[in-house]
Parts: sequence; C-alpha cells; structure tokens
Amino acid sequence: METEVKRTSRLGQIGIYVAKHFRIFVHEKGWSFIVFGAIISWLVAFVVGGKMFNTYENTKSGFFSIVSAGIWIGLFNSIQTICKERSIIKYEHRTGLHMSSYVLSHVIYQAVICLIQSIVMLIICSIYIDFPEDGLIFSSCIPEYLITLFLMLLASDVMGLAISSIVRTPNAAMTVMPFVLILQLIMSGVLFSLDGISKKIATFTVSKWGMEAMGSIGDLNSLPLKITLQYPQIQKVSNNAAYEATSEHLLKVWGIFILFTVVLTAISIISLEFIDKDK
Amino acid sequence: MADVQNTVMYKPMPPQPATLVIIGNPENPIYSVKLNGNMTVGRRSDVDINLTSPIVSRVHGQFTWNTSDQCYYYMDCNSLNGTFFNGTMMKKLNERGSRAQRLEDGDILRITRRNPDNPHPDAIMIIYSTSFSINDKWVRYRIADDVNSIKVGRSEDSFINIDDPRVSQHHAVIEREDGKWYIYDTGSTNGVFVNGNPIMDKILLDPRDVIRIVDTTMIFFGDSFIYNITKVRGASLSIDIDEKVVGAIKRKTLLKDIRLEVRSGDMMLILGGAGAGKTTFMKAVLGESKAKGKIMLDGQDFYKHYRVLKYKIGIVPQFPSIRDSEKVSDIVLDASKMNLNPDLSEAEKNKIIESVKNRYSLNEIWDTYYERISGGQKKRVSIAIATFNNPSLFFLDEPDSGLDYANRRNVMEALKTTADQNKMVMVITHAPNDAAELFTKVMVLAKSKKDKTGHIAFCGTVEDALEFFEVDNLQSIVVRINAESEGGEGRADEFIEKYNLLRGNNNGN
Repeated sequence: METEVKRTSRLGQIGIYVAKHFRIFVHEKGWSFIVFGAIISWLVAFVVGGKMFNTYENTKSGFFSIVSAGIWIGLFNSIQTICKERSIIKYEHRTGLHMSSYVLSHVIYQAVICLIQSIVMLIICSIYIDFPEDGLIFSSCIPEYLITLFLMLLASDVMGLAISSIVRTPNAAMTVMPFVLILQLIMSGVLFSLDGISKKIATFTVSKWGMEAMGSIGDLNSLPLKITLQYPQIQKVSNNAAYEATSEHLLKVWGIFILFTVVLTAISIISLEFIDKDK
Repeated sequence: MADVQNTVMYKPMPPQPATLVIIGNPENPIYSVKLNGNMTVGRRSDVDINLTSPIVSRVHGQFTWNTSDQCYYYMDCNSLNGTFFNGTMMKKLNERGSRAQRLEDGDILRITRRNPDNPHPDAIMIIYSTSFSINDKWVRYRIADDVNSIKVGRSEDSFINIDDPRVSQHHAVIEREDGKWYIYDTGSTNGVFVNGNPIMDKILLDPRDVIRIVDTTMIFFGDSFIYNITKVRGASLSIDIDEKVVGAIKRKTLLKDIRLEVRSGDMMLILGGAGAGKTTFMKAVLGESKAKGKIMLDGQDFYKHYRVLKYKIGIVPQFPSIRDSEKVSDIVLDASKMNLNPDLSEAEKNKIIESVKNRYSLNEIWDTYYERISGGQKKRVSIAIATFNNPSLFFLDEPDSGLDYANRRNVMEALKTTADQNKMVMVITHAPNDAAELFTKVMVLAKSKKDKTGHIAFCGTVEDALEFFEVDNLQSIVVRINAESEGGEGRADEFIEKYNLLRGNNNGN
C-alpha cells in the first residue's frame, strides 16, 4: 500500500531541483555555456587588453565591452531555461511543486554557473589587461572585479529567468533578447549621454550600474583624456560622478545588483504562479 | 426512433455501500447499520432501522436510493420532533414529510428536541458515510478532568493514535484553555477538517462538532469524543454537473446534466462523439475549468476544497511532461522525494519505490535516459510517478495516442493495475476496442442536435453499453452517435432521450 500524498517542504524541493539542474547540466553538456562565455571574454580581452588604463576613453570603452559581454553571457545562460519546459512545470505545479522553490533552485544553479563564468572571465581578462593593484574595499582590485562581474552576470541571468518565465516559448524568448540587449547597451550611458526620461529608465538597467562599478574600481576619473596626452594644457573640467572611486559607491552598486536579482526573482515566481491558466 | 418502451435493457447498478453510524446516549453502544436501498427509520418494530429512544417517532424518516444520481436521500416523515440535517431543522414540504435531502459522506442527522440548545438525553445522532465501513470499530474516549491537551497522530505518544500512514506522526492537538476546547493542525500533510471545512488556525470546538482526519471521524461532545478505528479504504467520485457554460457575452452551453458515480477499482472509459465535450468534461472534473454543479471526491466537495484536494487527482498528460535528459531512475526517485510523506522511514519509502518499479515494469529501463525509451514505456513512467501522490483518481486524456497496438495495450494494462490498487481511473481514448475487457464502466457523451450541447448518453458496464447501443464493439458506439457529417449515424438525440427515459424509469421504481 502506498501512502497518502505528501509534498516535501519548499526547502526540500529546492534541493531536489538544484540536483536535477546539475544532472541535466552534465547530460546536456551545460559546460558549453562556460566555453562560449570564455570565448567571448577572450575576444573582448584580446581586443581591448592593450588599451586599458592608458586613457579615460579607451578604458571606458574597454569596460563597456566587458559589461556588454557580461550581460550577454548572463542573459544567454537562462533566457530559454524556463519557457522550454513550461508544459512540464505546469504539470509539476499541479502535482505539488512550489513555484518559489522552482525559481530559487534555478537562481542557485545559475549563481554557480555565473560564479564559474566570472572567474573564467576575470582570468582571461587578467592575461591581456594589466589591472591596477589597489582596490576600493580590499587591498587588491581583483576580488572587487570578481564580485562585480559575478553580481552583474547574476542580475543579467535572473533577468533572463524573468523573461523566460513571462514568455511561453523559446522562440518568443529569443525574439525578446535582442531588444533587451540593445536597451542595455543604449542605457549604459557610454554610447550616448542620458538625460530626462532616458536617464530614469537607465536606473533600471544592469549596464548602467555595471559601468558605474567598473568605472569606480578602475578609477576612470583619474585617467587622462586622449587629448590631454597630446595637449597637456587641456584638462578635464569635472569628474563623472557615476565613476566616483569610493568604497561607498561600489557597495551601493553591489546592493543595487542584489536588489535587481531579488526583484527579478520575485517577478519570475509571480508570473509562474499563473501557469495553471495556460491552455 | 426506436421504441424505447420495448428496449429496456439497462440494468441499474445496485445501491452503493453506505453506512449509518448510530449514536445514542452515552450508556448505549455505538453501532453501524448498512444502508441497503430504501429503508425506513423509527421507533416502530417493523421499520428497517429500529431506534428505541422515546424522542424518535414511530416512523421518523426514510432513506431512499436514487438510481439517477446514484445517491442516498433522507426525508423526515413529518415526525413529532423533526430531524436536524447538519444542524438545520428539515422543513415540512407536504403531507409525506420534508423535502428529500441528498446525503453526502459525513452528513449528520440528529433527532432531539426542536430547541437544539436543550438536547434530549436520549437524542440520537446518525452519521451517514460512504467511507466508513460496517466493520469500523467505534470508540468513546472520555476526557478526564486533569487532561488539558490531547495529541492526535500516528506517533505512539499520541493520545489518540491513528494507525494510518496518511495521518501525520503529529497531526493535530486538541487543547483546553479557560474551560473551552480548541483544535489546531500541527503541520499535518493531509489537514484537519472541522464540520467539513479545513482549518487554518486554532479554532474553538463546540459540542457535536465533527472532526475529520483522513478517514477517521471524531465527534466532540464537550466531555468526550467518539471516533472510528478505520482501515484504509477505497476512493469515490460523484459527478453532478448541471451545466458548463463558456463565454461572458455570447454564452454557450457545452455540457448539461452530467451525473455519474465512480468507485475505487473502476476503470471508466469516456467515449464521445465529435464535439461532445470530452475535453470540457475532463477540465471540469480536474477543476481546471469549473462547471456549475458539484463534484464530490472521497466524500469531500472538490471545487470547494480544490487547493487541498487537487492532489487527489493524478493527471497523466497526453504528451509526456517529463524532462528528456534524465534517467528513469532519477525521474522516479525525484517524484518519490517530492511526494512521499517525509514522516515515512527510509525503509518504508524504499519499499514503496520498489513496488512502483515492479508494478509498472521499470526495472529494465531503470538506468536508461527518458529520451531513449519507447512511447509505451514513457507512459508507464508517467503513470508510475503520478502514483507517488497517491491520488484517488487518475484521469488520462488519450494515453495511447501515437502508440502501436502492443504499446496501447501495455498502457491500458498498466492503468488496470492502477485501478486494482483501490483507485479510480478515467480514460479518454479513441481506440477502446484494444482493451475493452479491461474497462469496468463506460460513459458516453453525445452532442445533441437540438441544443448543440454535450449530454450523457449512457453510463454503465461495457456489456450493457453494447446492448444499449445495439453494437458489437465499443468503437461502433461513436459511429452511432456521431453526426452524419462526421461519418456517423446521427442518432445522438435518440440515445440521450433513451438513457434519460431509463434513468427516469429507474428513479420512479
């Protein structure tokens, strides 16, 4: 005789699904995401490597490339993850799976992937980029870059999870992805200066805060303009407050990344709670 | 149209087992009476259920079996003191007595003074149940003055120990505070119901409140309890759909008057003509798109307690909802971890997993990835993992679609195995002939040309269905009721009327 229905606790469900994600990672060769991330990192590092930390403009462009690559890697990790198994989740939800457990299991799994990708990205960048030694919080800037990369990738990754929870098919997810990426690139404040409504919208983008964190750790404001190298008498009139090189500023940006992750996780959970309404 | 008066071949099913538990004053033993069709109750010696209490009239009331909805009804026969039905006095309708009240598992009839606050010492309480067994032993537990807390559960230190694996180790606590008794759920798996409602917080208990914990019913009297010591029983489903309407502006009725009963061990085939509403019916039964009416699952209102009861219906989707890149072993073990009672020991869990593996022949594919097994094997895995939730009812929409004959047969045999575990199985299939002998019942839905709505055209055994539709195989029933434009004979209305007439005839008998 079997026993009556019993659903394990939410915490227990998270454990079961984290294990499931890692099994599928092995079987579906999930490490390919790490390899793709490494290739992109190498391309970026190779191109921008020699030009970093000599002028304000070059370093800013280099950081922009790294931030863009990071957002792309994070989004691409997860954007098809949930929508591709939507019918499975609908069934599992009916049989007792809590959506909070399901989404949190993905966040935990993706956090591990993002951490590995961040480490790989930083190692590759370190080969081509000669990072200054000092950090704002730690004695070395390396852990600060690592934490920034990790939190930025994770926020982007969870944004991918949120999109994947809202859309119903992988095709729809891949249609949305370029728009999200373009929005991130435009709103970073690097390609265009942002004013008015666009400045407000930028507050909600990972790219803006990614640039702020990178610019702070790299102390962008202390680097000379290209023109200053040619004409030393020409100096910057003012520094960009977004790249203020203080530990408070960096901690604030990290906090914002964590807030993004939490809010986007909640959006994922809430949107999946309505999965029973799927036809 | 056929002469329906000459073609009465439908045999009504015998009354379903139901039990009355009769509780008199504390000096008298509690006893059970098996309801067996129409029965009278009263003080007179020639009534079917004889009650000796002076508060009871000579012929007090009558229980009636209704074949159309397969339910018992109770009517007060204009008795002197009347009958309380779930706490409300039954009103006189005419000279014969009150309106007949349909009975559902756990309903309580009380015969006492008309003022319920002044109960007669020889008052009688009658509990109607389709889940109690005539063999259930009833126990009275008197609460000693120095007892202030009563633990209920499966653990041995429970004051009221219920030996049923569906009951949690520590299921509920009944506690005295300032002379009043309260009950609360201590995080049980299957909940505590008081007077039919699941409790969320600590609630006050009034005398005569009925507490239900899985299949154990406890009646609280203020200074004592009575409760049944029960064995795990089978499942029951009572479907009573008045109609299913869709569309807010342009309203369209998709189903009308669908009434049937399913019991544990039943494997019911759902046959239907094109557009007869099989999918609508399925969604209504699953609670995905509720219909106007009532669905009672294991004696509880399914729509009312959907959040709690939805797990009692196991769905095996038409298209497998399992991740391809997992081994069968991982799929089954994860399902067991998700759904088996964590209170169970590892040995108990392993025993269950082994029995599921053997029952659904999973040993040979245990270490194979899901994407590499056959369609029939995939269905078997789907059925197997659905059993861990221990649902009472399995509902399958075309489980055999896309499979060859051998695999179709294989899947149906797996379902029969499931039904044999005291479960109910309902199957929609377009290939019923492959396993006709495995079905215990067949329900036929047909779309009426008159109102363009799905009606029930038959519900009964396979043999009776063949006789009723004058066919030699189940597949041909669909031909009988399908419209001419669908390649059928367009006789849906004829059979709907014939079935209604037979139901009506049987009701009158």
